[in-house]
Amino acid sequence: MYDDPISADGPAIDADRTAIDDPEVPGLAGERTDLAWSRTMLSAVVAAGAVLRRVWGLFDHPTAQLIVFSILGVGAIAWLVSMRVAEATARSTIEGRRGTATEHSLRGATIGTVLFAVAALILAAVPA
Amino acid sequence: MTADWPGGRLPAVRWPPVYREPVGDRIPLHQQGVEPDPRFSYANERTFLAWNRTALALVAAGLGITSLLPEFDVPGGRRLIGVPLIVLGAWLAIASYQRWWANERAMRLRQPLPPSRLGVVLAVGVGVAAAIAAIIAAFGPAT
Repeated sequence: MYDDPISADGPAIDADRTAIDDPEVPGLAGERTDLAWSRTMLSAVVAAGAVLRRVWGLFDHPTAQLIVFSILGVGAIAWLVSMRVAEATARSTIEGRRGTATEHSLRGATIGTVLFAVAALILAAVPA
Repeated sequence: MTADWPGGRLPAVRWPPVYREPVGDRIPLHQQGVEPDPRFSYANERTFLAWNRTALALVAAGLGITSLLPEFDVPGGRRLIGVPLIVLGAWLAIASYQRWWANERAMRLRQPLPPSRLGVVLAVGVGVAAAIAAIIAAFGPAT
């Protein structure tokens, strides 16, 4: 705790040391990171929407449509699971657990984005 | 051939010129070094997410160019611009994860952060796509 250093009743603490110096007090960094996840998720929804809009009218190429729908679905699941892992465990204070959870969620987000790109490439190859 | 850099020396230029972010060894990340200051880990995570948003924007832009724009006068003109952007987006998503991994590893081992060429590759990629668009606009057949 960081009591008022001039309080006579409080514990004796170093007046020069504040919460800023304590790595155990991440401050608002976690909240900023949560917001960054939300922004990125919105971008993923926009990218997936662009793919979906294009693939929806692809009735002349049913095989390509099925493949793109499947890739898009797996990519969306990867994104949702990543978001869930990031929310549920990445803020854990258990030693070592946060880092492992972050690695998993970031890997999932990468896979999701790459799958969206693959779906977009297939759509680019199919004649409009 | 290597280049001097304030944070160290950039990796040697290899042929074919496929640039990969330095990822170090393959020991699981949580088994290396000690847990870094969580604020730095959060900052590293946010940087990855910013790169990932850029990758998603490139994919959406590339798809928009190939699908939504009207036909160019040059055959395959839309694909010529859009496909490189989509490929660049896919590459950027993977490279940004490798970058996050390398940064996290360096922080766990209390080492300097490795230099990165992500920004240079992105700038060159977007510049090349813009140059192709400019060439098509300037020298393509008139309608």
